[in-house]
Amino acid sequence: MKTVFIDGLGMLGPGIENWQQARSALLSGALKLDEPLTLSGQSPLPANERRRASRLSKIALQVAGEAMADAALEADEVATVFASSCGDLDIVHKICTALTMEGKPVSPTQFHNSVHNAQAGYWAISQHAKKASNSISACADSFAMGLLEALTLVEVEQTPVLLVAYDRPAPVPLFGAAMSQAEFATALLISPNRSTDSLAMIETNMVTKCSVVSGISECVNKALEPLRNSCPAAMALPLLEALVNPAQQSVALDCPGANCIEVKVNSCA
Amino acid sequence: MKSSLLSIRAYTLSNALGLGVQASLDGLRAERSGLRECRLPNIDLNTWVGQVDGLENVVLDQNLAEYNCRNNRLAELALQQDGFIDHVQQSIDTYGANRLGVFMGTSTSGIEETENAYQHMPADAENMPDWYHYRYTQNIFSIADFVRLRLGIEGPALSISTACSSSAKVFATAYRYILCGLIDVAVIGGVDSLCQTTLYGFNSLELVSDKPCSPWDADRKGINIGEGAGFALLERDSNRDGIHLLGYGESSDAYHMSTPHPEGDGAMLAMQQALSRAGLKPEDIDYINLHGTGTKSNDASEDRAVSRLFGDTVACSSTKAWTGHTLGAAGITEALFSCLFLEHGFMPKSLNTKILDPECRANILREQIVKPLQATMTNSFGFGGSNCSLIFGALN
Repeated sequence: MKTVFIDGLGMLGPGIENWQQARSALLSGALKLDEPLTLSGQSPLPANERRRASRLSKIALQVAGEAMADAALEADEVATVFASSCGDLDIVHKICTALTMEGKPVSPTQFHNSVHNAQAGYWAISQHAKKASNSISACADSFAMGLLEALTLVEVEQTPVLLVAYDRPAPVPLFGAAMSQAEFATALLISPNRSTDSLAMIETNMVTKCSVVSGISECVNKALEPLRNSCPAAMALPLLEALVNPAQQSVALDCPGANCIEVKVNSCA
Repeated sequence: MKSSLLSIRAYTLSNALGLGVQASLDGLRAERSGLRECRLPNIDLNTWVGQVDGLENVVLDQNLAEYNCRNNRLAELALQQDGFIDHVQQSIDTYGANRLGVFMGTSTSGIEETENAYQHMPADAENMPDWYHYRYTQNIFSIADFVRLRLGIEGPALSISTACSSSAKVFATAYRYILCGLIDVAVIGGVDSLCQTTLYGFNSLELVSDKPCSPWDADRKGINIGEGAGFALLERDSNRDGIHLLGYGESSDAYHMSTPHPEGDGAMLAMQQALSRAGLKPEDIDYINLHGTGTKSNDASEDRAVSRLFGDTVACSSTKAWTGHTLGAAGITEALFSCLFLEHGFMPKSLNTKILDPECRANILREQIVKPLQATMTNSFGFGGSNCSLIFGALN
């Protein structure tokens, strides 16, 4: 695929409240995995929506806002891809619980927040962003397929795209059955053209899993591995490592089926 | 001059009108609705539904047994119609299994399994029952995963879940993947099945009609929920005779989570983009298959959008009174209806529309019209303000 440019980044995770902390954790591997994800920064959501939005939506929008914060692009110029393996299982739990009760009192707000594109909807509303938006899942491979979806949009529609990937643990009793044991979210602002905002350039190719030549599929920093293995969105970590560390050149991310994508990273510095 | 984005090599669809293309075609031509009064177990609501018979008895391949849920059983039954599996196999033989992609739309996937588990679990249960497989049923990807494994496809696969626009948007995604050279052929589709979540959810929003739905009617009461599945095999072949995707448009309302923009701004943006990508003018469109759910706000907003862009001349109708609103499968169902109309040269009336809403301006067909068509448009709009318009045309 054509070379594209990373113009902004965001990451939230256990003990990581903002991109600065994320950057140093990615470089040093000093992670406080047993700490909670704290939402301390400025939320892009207006106060009204913030009250109604779920924790998953707040996390997704916070990290999306972070990736846009230092970019010259305005949110209404940017298409979006929201990738989440499981979506909002807190809401699924509440609805399925309500369905066991007399009269099945499903909350209308919970119901409209239950759609997989709720985060995309809240982002569009809060940013007045009217461009194309997709919300996808590829279960454990949701980050890689979200990236591919974003890259096809950048290449074909010649538009900048904000990719947001996020997952968090389900409540009991779904916890053990669902895909995520940790909270993690990341956002990448991807542009077809180089600008003064460009932090790195990436070139992506789809290859069969057995023919990966140079890409590494695990975190170089072994301290990050438990996080990568406990949340589908955290499969982004090897790429995020490569984006902050010029010594790392190429990563491989699994897709469903026989293929994976190899992403070659070069700094724009 | 119309130019093709993608050629539709094969397609199949199943819904309340029956299994396979012929059942839909017969029902549409004969103006026979598939809706029935809701008698589903666990549903105590006074409404009508578009139900597919026989789903309880569908058995999945043994090696896919963990994927067993109503949604995947509906997918299995639909895939068996119209020789679709053989068409896919021919493409696999020609291009190789990893040069095909699978892009599926759904809104609720296999959530019925989770509903059932909760129904039978003690309220203080710490874990789900042993028979429950979250990953293979309720997870949004389950449907795309099931389809790719069932068809033996090894290329990229994902589910798109943008509520009721989900399986319209798969056409745009398939086009982009093929144009970027990531795949040669796409299997796209949408599957959504009846469940308590959507019936009681829409009921909580007071959007469920106690009568058969009547889009654009002055006295419309809301939606009937339906289930359905549709699949299409797409490739780039602009020289092939037949039905082609000519344009697509995708936009966000950026207005409200569950109410469309009152002036139809987002819908209009999607339709404009679809026209511009197809290189067509509004007057080149013969027929619009409306999203037309039958709620007060959807029909009013869509009417504004259509009449602002097309005036009051282009023929329009909603087919929701045949199938019910199949939610995540509505996009593909109505896209394939729009292909059927091109192929067979007719435009259906808006079934159940008795007294046209006097506030509405669009040219809603009150009678079926038989005539050759060149280009049709279909609209799909979803919660979260997700809009998609598609244009299809016959090339020969």
